[in-house]
Amino acid sequence: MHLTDIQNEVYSFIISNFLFGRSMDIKENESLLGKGVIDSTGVLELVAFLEEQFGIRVEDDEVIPDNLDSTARIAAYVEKKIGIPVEHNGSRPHAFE
Amino acid sequence: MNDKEARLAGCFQAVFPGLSADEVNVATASSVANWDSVAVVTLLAVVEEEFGITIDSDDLAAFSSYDGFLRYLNEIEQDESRSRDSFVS
Amino acid sequence: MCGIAGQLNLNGAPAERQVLDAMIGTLLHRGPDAHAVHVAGPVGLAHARLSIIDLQCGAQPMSTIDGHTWITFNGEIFNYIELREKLIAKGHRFATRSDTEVILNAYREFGEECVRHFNGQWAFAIWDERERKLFLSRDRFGVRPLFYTQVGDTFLFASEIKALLRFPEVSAEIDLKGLDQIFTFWVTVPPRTAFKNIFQLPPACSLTVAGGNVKGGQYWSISYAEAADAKNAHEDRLAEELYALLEDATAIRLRSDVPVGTYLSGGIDSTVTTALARKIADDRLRSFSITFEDAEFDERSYQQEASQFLGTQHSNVSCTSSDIARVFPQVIRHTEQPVIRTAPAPMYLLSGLVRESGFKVVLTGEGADEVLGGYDIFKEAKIRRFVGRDSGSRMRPLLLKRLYPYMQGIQRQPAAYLQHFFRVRAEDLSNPFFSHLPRWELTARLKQFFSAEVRDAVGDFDAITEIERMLPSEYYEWSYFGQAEYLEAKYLMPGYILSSQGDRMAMAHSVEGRYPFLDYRLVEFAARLPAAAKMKALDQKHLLKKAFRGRIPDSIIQRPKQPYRAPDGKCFFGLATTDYAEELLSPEVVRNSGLFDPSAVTSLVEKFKSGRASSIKDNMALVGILSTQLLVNQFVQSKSEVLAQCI
Repeated sequence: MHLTDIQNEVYSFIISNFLFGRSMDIKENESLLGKGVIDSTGVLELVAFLEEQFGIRVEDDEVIPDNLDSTARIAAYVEKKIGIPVEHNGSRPHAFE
Repeated sequence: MNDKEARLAGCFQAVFPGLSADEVNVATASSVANWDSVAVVTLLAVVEEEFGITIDSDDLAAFSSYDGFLRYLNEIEQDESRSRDSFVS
Repeated sequence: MCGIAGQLNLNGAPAERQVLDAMIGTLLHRGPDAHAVHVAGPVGLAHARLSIIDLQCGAQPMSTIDGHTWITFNGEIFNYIELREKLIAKGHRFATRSDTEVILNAYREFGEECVRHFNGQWAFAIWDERERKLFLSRDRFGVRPLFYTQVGDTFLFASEIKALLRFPEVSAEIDLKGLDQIFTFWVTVPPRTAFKNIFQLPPACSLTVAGGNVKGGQYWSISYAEAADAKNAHEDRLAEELYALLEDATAIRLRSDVPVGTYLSGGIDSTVTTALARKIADDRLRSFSITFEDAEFDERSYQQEASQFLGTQHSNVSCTSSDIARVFPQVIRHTEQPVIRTAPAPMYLLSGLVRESGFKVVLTGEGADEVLGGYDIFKEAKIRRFVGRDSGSRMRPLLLKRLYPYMQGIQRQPAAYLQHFFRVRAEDLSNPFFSHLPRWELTARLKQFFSAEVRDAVGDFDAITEIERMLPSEYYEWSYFGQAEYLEAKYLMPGYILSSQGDRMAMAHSVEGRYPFLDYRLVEFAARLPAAAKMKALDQKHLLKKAFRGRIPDSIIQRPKQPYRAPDGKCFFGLATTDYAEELLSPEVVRNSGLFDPSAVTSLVEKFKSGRASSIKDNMALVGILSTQLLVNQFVQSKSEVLAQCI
């Protein structure tokens, strides 16, 4: 997937799930926390969406603003995760920095 | 036990209610049940309030025992008296 | 205890009996035992009675023996016995044994200052025939409600808004600034209510209507300035004093000609009041509680333990999500304002149980948290200040996890997000509303659901700036702890806890709640205790626990605070969908009421139906919007329908 495709999907999810359809101009590098779009009680919903939508597994210590606080960061994070193959016996892959 | 030690012991007992007076003096991260990072931070908060200070350190290792806390308190007291002394010359 | 209503025509035109009958007719749930109307020229007083003291002779509206002063009164003056003796010694005569007559004679003796002598909970209107003035008053904490409005030359007052709406010219329209306040603070700021041009007399205030003018004033205020003698006092002595005050507060609140029961929720406050009642009354005491099917909210094991320890005869009513959905419209008919949580609904069921059990009066534990340091919001503020002292620290935010151990969602929150949510930036630390910013800012996000019309009407009205202007100057001298307690006691307690969860839910089933912790002598003592006596390190209500150790089960003293909560959104769109909720939140109905954005509401409902919704914010949104729609449906739309039928 292209980075912009991921960004678009994330953006759509944010608009429908957190803003209930009210469109808002969210720039790709704008802080979602700062803009009040996602707060800590909502970040887990975002994590659930990313895992379902992109088939990734988000570790607890990866749930940080560095990875999730803007659509650009989310896209970069997801891309990194998608690039890792999952072992067919179901064991979790090593994270790479 | 001097006043500082007694007050520090009180802080420990506020965070670990099960600890007896003897156990407090030798409390370490490995000897006390429920001693996790949240407990340490709680201790920091309680000690800050008790002694009216701001603890200027993020080094968890320095605070892994009763002795560690006591050492920190003694150090800052020395620093304070040193800076007082430096005005007298 | 009762319902009151009245009318005063400022132009001297005669008051209308059928208007008063119509008004009091809506308040019979507050006073099912008797009702009456007194008309004298331009003034009319109406009363619906729940008979508790002097069952034979305490009928109202009541006058002094000479007939020159009349009253309609809702509440109890618990020190009425002592006051009565004082007034007799000063030469006043009594025809009854009621506390109502004590108010009348106290007014004759002390004038408007009489209210300072009262220890109790009240909303009353006195017609002073000689002065041609109407004097209204409300108790210090807002336990009993009192609403008023003026249309043309007619001044009207009543215990509940539904009574005022029976007057044809009083219109029912949602006050949009009030809505903005509710969707920020959970409450409107008195005198504002959820309805335009309908006002509430603020707690600790009186109002005088005379010579065509309406004038109000505050007769009491709460101070959180730490008392000098308390600072140096030994904790043991303070605990003893607290105990003595609480014991007397409870004793006078047991004064009744009908049996008194207690609520026993499993928390420390109601266990304390029950323990004292048991000790003083020494009878087989009846206690009542709610149990929840949902284990997340249930406290039955603590309730049973307390009941066994104290030897009460305990009953409970079970509450499921579908029960809440079933009674919610009735609940809103009684709250008369939107709510952000469903928590009033189980209280509605509870008072029903009390009534079915043949009881009219219960003691309950509200008020302790606001002066004895009970709420999580105080602990939260303390922890946030600790975190804020070194905002670069990675370790400090971990302490935020200690805040809500019972809330699974919070435990899984990453520290960085908790830090942002809990607002510990440098500029927040110096904000006078530091303690309440997280709650208010979270709630304010619900305004994203407002329709464009509402946003336009509200404009740049800033609810927080408005109350900042209202802060007393002493506020800035109090400790941070005292400031947080003040905000809770001033806003959330009267506006929500004592009203939507308290008086309205109890009175819906003709039950009177009495609050020992709101004895003003106790409040004055407790509010001024040093912060460390209330919250020692992170131990809430420290002094109360100390005073009652050994007198109530240790397990209840030691248990972590579990705030009273009930299941929210899932009651309406969980396993089953509630029909009226589906209808009231449908795009057509939402568009029609004009307050919320129809497609945003539809998305929210979809989110609940799909099972994706679980955040605090989504739940508050659903309950807030649904309760507002119910309010519009029951008060605004039905009134216009009723009026349309009259044309």
